[in-house]
Amino acid sequence: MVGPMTRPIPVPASGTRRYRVNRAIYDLTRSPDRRELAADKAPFLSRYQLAPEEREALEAPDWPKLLKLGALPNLIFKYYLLHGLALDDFAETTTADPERKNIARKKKADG
Amino acid sequence: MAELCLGLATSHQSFIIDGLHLGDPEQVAQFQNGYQRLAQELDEAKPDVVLIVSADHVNKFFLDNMPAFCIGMLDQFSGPFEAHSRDPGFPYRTLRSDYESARYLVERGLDDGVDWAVTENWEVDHGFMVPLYKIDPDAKFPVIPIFVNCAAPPLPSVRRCYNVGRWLATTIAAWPSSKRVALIAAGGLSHSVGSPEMGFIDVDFDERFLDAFCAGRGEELASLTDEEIDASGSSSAEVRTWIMLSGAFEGKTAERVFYAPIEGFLTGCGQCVIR
Repeated sequence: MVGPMTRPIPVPASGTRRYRVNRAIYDLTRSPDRRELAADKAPFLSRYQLAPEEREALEAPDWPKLLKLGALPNLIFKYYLLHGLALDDFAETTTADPERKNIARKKKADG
Repeated sequence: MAELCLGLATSHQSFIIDGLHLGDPEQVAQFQNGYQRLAQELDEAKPDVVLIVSADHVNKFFLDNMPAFCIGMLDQFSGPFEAHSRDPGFPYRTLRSDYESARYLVERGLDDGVDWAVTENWEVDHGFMVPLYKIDPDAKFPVIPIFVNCAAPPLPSVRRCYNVGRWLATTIAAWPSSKRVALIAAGGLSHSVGSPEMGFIDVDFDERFLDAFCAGRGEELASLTDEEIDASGSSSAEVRTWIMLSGAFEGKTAERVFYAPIEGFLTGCGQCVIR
């Protein structure tokens, strides 16, 4: 039996977790209203058939989690900049692993 | 027969236009001089068409339909895409392309083992427009953009990219045309964008890569593993464009025009000329 028509039409269910997460970032960062949407992402993200942990990671944003969920680095970067965060703090902000924090500086120090 | 008359390789880091203050002034000046050299080489070569192989940064191509290789088969194309969200520091341009030449490459490929994806509409990003603006600022030559997936795994193998380069050379040589063709590879070298390693430049990797590239040791480049490339940076996969160029000029030596690990640019920036 076909269910009732829903409006607005949700983003179609997609095949992979990686696709869902990246699709949301891709669409949001390309939206003409992206800066406003970034300030309150919940209504935008509700159109995407995201698992709870995916939605939470996108809303926070939880950068290490997004990387774990398969967000592409180029999209992570755009999402990061959209949130007005400083480029210099990227490495520090995007990893939860104390060993990997500031890995750029660590590798340089190690020579 | 057509002739592959010139090969140029360059990083496509956009800070060379809109972030000059971020880099060491001496390194930046040398990078700029390198671009002037590449521009002079292209001007003197006077190609009838320029092919530019670069990466797209998940702007045009997304996971819903991600090709390994794509040719722009079009009369013209525009960019950079980034102009929609920020001032790229140079004009948004529409450049003329060469539909017939692109179609020739596509048709030969479909017949001969390179199943090119094709697009007849393309707003290219900085990966294409920055090098084109620096190397051909007056848009003298028609350009065919060629995409290699370097951003969304699974990527075409390094070996495959090298062999596609070899295929380009063979196909151009067999072309019943008097066209002079230049090939630009844009991307790399080691860098990481959007990953926790951002800022790390693997100078050892870059130097070894450039040594092999300039010595014409293409087999060495084609044998690089994904692990080696990924360890040098999450965006270092872009060296695939250079490896394709190396395949197109198989065995030929190249001149290193410039290399420096420009920390403020987050990238090991290099430029070479090959014939």
